Amino acid sequence: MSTPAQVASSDTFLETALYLRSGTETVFAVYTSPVSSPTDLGVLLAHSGPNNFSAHRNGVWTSISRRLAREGIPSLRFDFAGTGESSGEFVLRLDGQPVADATAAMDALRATGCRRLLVVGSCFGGIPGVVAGAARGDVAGMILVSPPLVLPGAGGMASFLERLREVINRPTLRTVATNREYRRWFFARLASLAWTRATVLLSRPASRIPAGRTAEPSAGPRLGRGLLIESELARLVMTGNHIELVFGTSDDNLARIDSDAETSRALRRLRDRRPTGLVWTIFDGAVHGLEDVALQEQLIRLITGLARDLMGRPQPP
Amino acid sequence: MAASRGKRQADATVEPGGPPASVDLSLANSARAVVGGVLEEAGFLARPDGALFVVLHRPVDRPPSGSLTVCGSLFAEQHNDYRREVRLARMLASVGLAVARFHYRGLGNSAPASASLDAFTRDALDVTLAARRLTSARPVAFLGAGVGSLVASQACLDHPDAPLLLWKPVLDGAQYFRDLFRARLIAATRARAPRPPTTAELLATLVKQGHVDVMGFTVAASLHDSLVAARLTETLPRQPRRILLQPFRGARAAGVERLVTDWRARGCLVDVQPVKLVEDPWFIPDGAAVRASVHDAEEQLMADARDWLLSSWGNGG
Repeated sequence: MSTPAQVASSDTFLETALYLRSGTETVFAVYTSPVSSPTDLGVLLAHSGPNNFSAHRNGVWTSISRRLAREGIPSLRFDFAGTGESSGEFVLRLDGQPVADATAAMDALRATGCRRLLVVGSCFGGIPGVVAGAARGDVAGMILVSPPLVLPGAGGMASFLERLREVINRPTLRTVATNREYRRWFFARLASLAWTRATVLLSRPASRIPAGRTAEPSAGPRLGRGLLIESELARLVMTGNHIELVFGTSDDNLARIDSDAETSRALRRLRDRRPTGLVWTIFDGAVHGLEDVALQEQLIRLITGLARDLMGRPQPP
Repeated sequence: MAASRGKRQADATVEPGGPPASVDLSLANSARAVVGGVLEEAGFLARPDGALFVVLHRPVDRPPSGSLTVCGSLFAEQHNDYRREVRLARMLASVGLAVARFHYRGLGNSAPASASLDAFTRDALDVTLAARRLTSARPVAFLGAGVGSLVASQACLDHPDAPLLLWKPVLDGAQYFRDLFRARLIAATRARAPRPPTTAELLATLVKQGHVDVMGFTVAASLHDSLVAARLTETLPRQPRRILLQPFRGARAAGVERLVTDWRARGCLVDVQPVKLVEDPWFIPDGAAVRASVHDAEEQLMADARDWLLSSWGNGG
């Protein structure tokens, strides 16, 4: 006989699809719960944004959800509006829709009986979680996986020079010079890019943007230089939450912090704050994008470990 | 919490070899929502092989006149294609068709299981059967994206009259993996990471460990071995069938002409509509103009697929 628990893949967890209301959009989520009575801690898993969906790369979020459920911890993974199964168009903002989506997902997890939340966000996905989490009192911890705390260009978007550097840099030029296969691919791509740009310039006046879409992903309110979401992070740290930043040594998002003195100072201040301070974890390699299976496994262990740890801590009054 | 929650799976006896006619093929632990005038139901299809995550899109105001099963691409390519498939499904449902999308076994939100071309084909057939039972839609069609083309064309063997749509089809599984393994080098260069193992070293690891890491995706030997032996020219039988090929810009497009000649010689009615999108767009630094161009090309791709499918069934829906 087939029961719902078996249907959802295992006799140790149960998975349920959900559609959540987030403003005018419909946000898709998967709720994974243990078969036994769940703990009061729930884990929210936010993917990185565009070109991603609830399971995340290589099903990493799915793996985490199922491992947590085996330990009695429920979780919810969701698609931001405009990604995966959700409605709408994705907008890169520090306010508005992505924050509403994170809030809706947190509320959904609370509605299942969780009283405390551990919020995990990958790259951009962590930012709306911090903004939403700072405005509520039920967040016990956060893990931000290679978050873009300093945006490229520090005004919201990458400068032309930074974009150029993405294409023309020493390792790329070295490989172009030494590897025939890469050289062929590289110039084919450049030709394709040039063709696309030429077509666009010829066929579309620069000011004409198709209806219903923004011209550029907006970073929301105008941003100055320095650490994004500093006040929200500070509020979460000061109220005793466990806030952990996870980077890889070769992550661009870490390099941007290192090269921005103001941001580095702000993060040092947060690290030294009482009572808990900001926790840093640096893995060797690239964490951003989760493009390494071995690092994915380390990340899974880190997240499940912190969830277990928080589960064992008494709930603050 | 949920906009709408579906019913739980009724107890049912499931026989080996696929769901028998007597089984209630409703989606378990599912949710329903109306998105942009389209009814969507996401949930889990129970099977002896493990539950599959399935999303069914259909018109909200009438019974669908036909049903399309989408066999998606794999790995990083799947992330690029995901929203295209969702948008296509919504577009087709809005003109009166049902669309079934799913995650292959062992991937995304589906249950863990051993992966292979035959196993994925079984998945596609089970989903097709479920979609037909749930929507009462006749006839059926298949869409294969990328390497999903091999799955879709195999699934077509059980549905001799089903039209077949192929986006940037992979013609040769061995060539597909050669290109995928080459992409590791390009990705590593972009990330300024140490040079990854050679293809020969990777294949040795695949034999020894049963799986390898390709840019953060676990490639199982069972899947690799089954796909390496697959060629699109050999999967379809000699019988008349309507086929729409929509090649993107890239290496795969080069083999399409030969494929068309071959299939036409077998009595197939083949239409070809080249698409102004690149097969591997993840290298190109984008801007609003390029994104707008991509969006327009995607809209064209989907509109062409819709019009062709409706004309194949000769009813405009």
